[in-house]
This record gives sequence, structure tokens and C-alpha cells, in this order.
Amino acid sequence: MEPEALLHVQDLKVGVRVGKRMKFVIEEVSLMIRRGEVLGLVGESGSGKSLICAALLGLLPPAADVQAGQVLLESIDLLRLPPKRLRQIRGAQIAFIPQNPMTACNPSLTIGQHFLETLRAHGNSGSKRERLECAVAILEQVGLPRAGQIVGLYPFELSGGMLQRVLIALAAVLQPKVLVADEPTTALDPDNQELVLSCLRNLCAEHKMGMLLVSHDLHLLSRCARQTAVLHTGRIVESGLLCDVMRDPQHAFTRALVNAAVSKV
Amino acid sequence: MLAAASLVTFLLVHLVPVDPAEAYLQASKIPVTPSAVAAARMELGLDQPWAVQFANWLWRVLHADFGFSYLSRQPVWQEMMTHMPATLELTAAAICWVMMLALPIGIYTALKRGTLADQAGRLFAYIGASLPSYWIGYLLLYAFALRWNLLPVTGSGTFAHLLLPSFTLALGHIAIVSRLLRSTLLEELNKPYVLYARARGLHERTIFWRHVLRHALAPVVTAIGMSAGHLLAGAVLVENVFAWPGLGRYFVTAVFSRDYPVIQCYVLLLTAMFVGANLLVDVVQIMLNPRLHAVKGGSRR
Repeated sequence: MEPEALLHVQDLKVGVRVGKRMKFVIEEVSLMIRRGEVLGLVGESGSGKSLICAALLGLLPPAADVQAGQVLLESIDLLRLPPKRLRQIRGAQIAFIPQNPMTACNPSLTIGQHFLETLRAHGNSGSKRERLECAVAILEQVGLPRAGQIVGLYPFELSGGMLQRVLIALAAVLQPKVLVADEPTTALDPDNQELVLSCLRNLCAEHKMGMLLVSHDLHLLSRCARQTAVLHTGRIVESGLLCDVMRDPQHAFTRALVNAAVSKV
Repeated sequence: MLAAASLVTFLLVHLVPVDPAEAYLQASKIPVTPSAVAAARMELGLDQPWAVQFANWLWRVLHADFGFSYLSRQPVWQEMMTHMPATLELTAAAICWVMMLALPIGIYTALKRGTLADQAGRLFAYIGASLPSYWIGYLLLYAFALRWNLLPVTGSGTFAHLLLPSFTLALGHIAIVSRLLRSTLLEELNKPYVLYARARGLHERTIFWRHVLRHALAPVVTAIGMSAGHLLAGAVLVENVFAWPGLGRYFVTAVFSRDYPVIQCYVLLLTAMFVGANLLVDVVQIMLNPRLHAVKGGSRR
């Protein structure tokens, strides 16, 4: 029996204001993520991947606007929540992993302070010490050595690969239902890419989280995701099991992606 | 830095076409005759080579001995020190004005950008930055002291006396600092760490006060520190408008009567304060930015 849908995006349509006209950059995008499942969203740059991530979190830039559609997290439509409720859900139930960990962190706060403020914002009223213990525990879970020391460091004192795993821990610390990872390995070298991917894979399997993994690299997705959706100029042109898509691509654009991925191996 | 400034200060006085000995005689109300000039030269050491004069002067300066004022025949250093507190009081009050007004204006106009309040802030900044302080000073005097009789006209001593001169002095700096804060705030608000903080579900006020403001303040601290030096120098004009018994007024009197020792001492003192203010700014910067003090070694791997 298939487990029920955790995150269900239905007919999402996003417009961007260009002068006085509205230009549609995401059209009728539907995605479904089940519990414990990784959905790989693949597409070239400019196809609207990052906008979809932003729309899921309710963090579209001011010029962009959701025109139609639903984003159902279990049965709650995130697009119709008041900002206050949405803030409570962001980070706690649907968490985000950024593309470039270095610019995403506040350079003047330590790793520990990032954890403290995130936990605090979501109503963790425990003492500072309890919250820090929470942070150390999850850092150890993502396989970082000497987690106790890491919480005292500033972001720029860590390597990119380590920092990305710290941010994965930061996303997972509140045990969200869904992780949204926007090209989490783009800024990393191949060794660290593998570490980060396996870290994400284990986390989802262990906690039964759903994950939307965004990338332009089908080959990379094939190491992590079971389902995939191919995005091309704002539309989903193909979707299904990743192995089927890889074996028998239907759309011309997908074929190009598959060829690119195969030539890499 | 200070050594170079002292050399320039020394040369400045000796490069102007007026003979210091004549100036000394005029200031001392002694008739200028050739024999008197020769005597004055001997007394002031002006007959010695320049290098020797400079070395002697520098040696005495290092012992806080700036010679005697031609005008009052009092030790210059002592007179400087009696005028100093008034100027420091004025400058400190002006910095208070800057912080009290520029920070809220900068924050408010950044948060309400594009609104009427933002436009008003912009207009205020243009006006504040372009009007000369001596003119604004007279306007304020006319309005508050003469027309509405709210504040004393000139002089010093009470808190009420301090309000107008310090505000006049601060106005241009309020304008500059508030605009600077607004633009750095808007720049910081667009940085990726703000988006990531939102994605983690932090409260908007946490993001603004804890993350954004802290980063936006760094250049503002520099600007305020730099303006401390300019405020001290700007006090020359304001002190004359408001008859404030500080260094600036003392200096202007000295300039008119070519009281060279006083001029030299003032210029050197001001340079020292400029340098001091910049040093203070660097210290505050280090306190604000962990990247500058977190190089503790061994923690990187």
C-alpha cells in the first residue's frame, strides 16, 4: 500500500510582475511527496526551481505572486495561511536547506546561536543549556565529529561541506515533516557532495521525512531520489519513478538531461 | 601621523608672509620698530636655523609646553585646557543628538521606504546636509530664543544653553548618518541570510533587530566616529555664533591677532583628537565584528 501524500502541490501558478504586465513563470505545476520519500525536481537554471521552493515556504520575492493552486501540507493549504501561522510552520514543519551555506548564515552569530534562535522561535522554552544539548545531539546525528566544539564556532570557521551538514542538522532539529533542499550540493566539491547526499538520505529514512531535492543534475539525483519531476520553462514535462525516466525519457528536454547525466558516469 | 602633523603645523606658521616677531609685537601692543623686532626675534628664538627651531619646539611640545600666548602672556597649554571642557561638552552633546535622532530616523525611513515619511526624511537630509551651520545657528537663535523666548540666546552653563548650539552642530551629521543607516539597512535586508532566517521561521522583529540592524550599524559607527573629529572642528563656527566659551572661539581670536603659539597648539590638538577618534572607531568595530577577533587559532579544521 502506498503511504498517503505528505506534501501535495496542485496546479501551482506563479507570476512575476514585469512593468505593468504579469508574466507567468510557473504554470500548473503539480508535485506529490509521500512520507519518507525523496522527490527529485530537475531542471535547467532559470526553469523556476528556486521559485517553486520559495513558493512552498511562502517566501517569494516581492515582485512574484502566486496566481493559482494549492500547497497542501497534510491537509493544510500553506498558500492560504495568515503570515503568522505560516511563520510557525516554516522551520518547524517544512524546513529549508539553502544552496550556499556561507551566505545563508549570519556571519556574526555562532552555530550554537543559530540553533538557539531557531528553537526559541518555535516555542522551545527550555533553558539555553537544554537547547544547546539538542543542537549537539542532532549535529552528531548528521555525522559531524566534535559537535560540542562546533556549536561555539562561527560559520566562517567551518568548511563549506561541514557547514552544509550543519545547516541540514539545523533544518532537522525540529523534526519537520518536509525538507526543501534547493541545490544543496552546488557549492561543494565531489567528496562533500557525497557526504551531504548520504546525510540527507539517512535523515529522511530515519525520521520518515519527505524531501524535495532540487538540482540541475539528474545523475546526482539518481543517487538519492526515487521519484522525479522534470521542470522545463516553468512546466513539469515529465514525472514518475526516476529509474523509469532515466531508462526511457519521453520529452526531448529530458533526453538531453539523461544524456548529460550518462556522459558523466 | 602626529609627527607629520606637527611638522606641517610648524611650517604652516613660518610659511605665511607675516613675520612672527612683528605679529608678536603687534599682539603685545609694543610699537614695531627695527630694534624691537630684533629683540623679539632673539626672545622667540627666531634667529636660529629652522631645523633647530623645530627641534626645540617639538621637544617642548612633547612636554606639553606650547609656549606663551602673545596676547595674554599665559601658558598656551593652560589656556587650552580651560577652554577644552566647554568644547568637549558641546561635541558630546552633538553626538548625543546624532544618535538620538539619526538612528531612529534611519531605521524608520528604511522600514517605511517609499512612503511619505521616507520622502520627508529625504527632504530633511538634503536640507540638513546642505545648509551651513552658522546660518542655521542664527535661524534657530531667532526662532527659539528671540521669537518664542524658549531658550537663552547665548552663553553657557546650563542644559538649556547647550541645546541650540549642540543641535546646530549636529544637524548636518544627523542628515548624513540617517541616510547612511537607511541605505545600509536596505542593503542588508536583501542579503541571503535574511531569507534563510525567514525560512527558519524566525520572528520578523528578531531578524531585524538581531541580524540586520547589527550588521547595518558597522559603517554607521565608523561614520559617527569620523564625525566626532569633524564636530570638534565644526565647533569653531558654532561657538562663534552662540558665544560659546570653547576652544573654537579661543582659536578664532588667536587667528585674528596672529597668536601663533595658540594656532599651532590648536591644530596639533585637533589632529590628535581626530586620530584618537579613529582609533576608538576601530576598537568598536572589532567588538561588533566577530571575524576580527575570532582568530583564535586551532579552531579551524
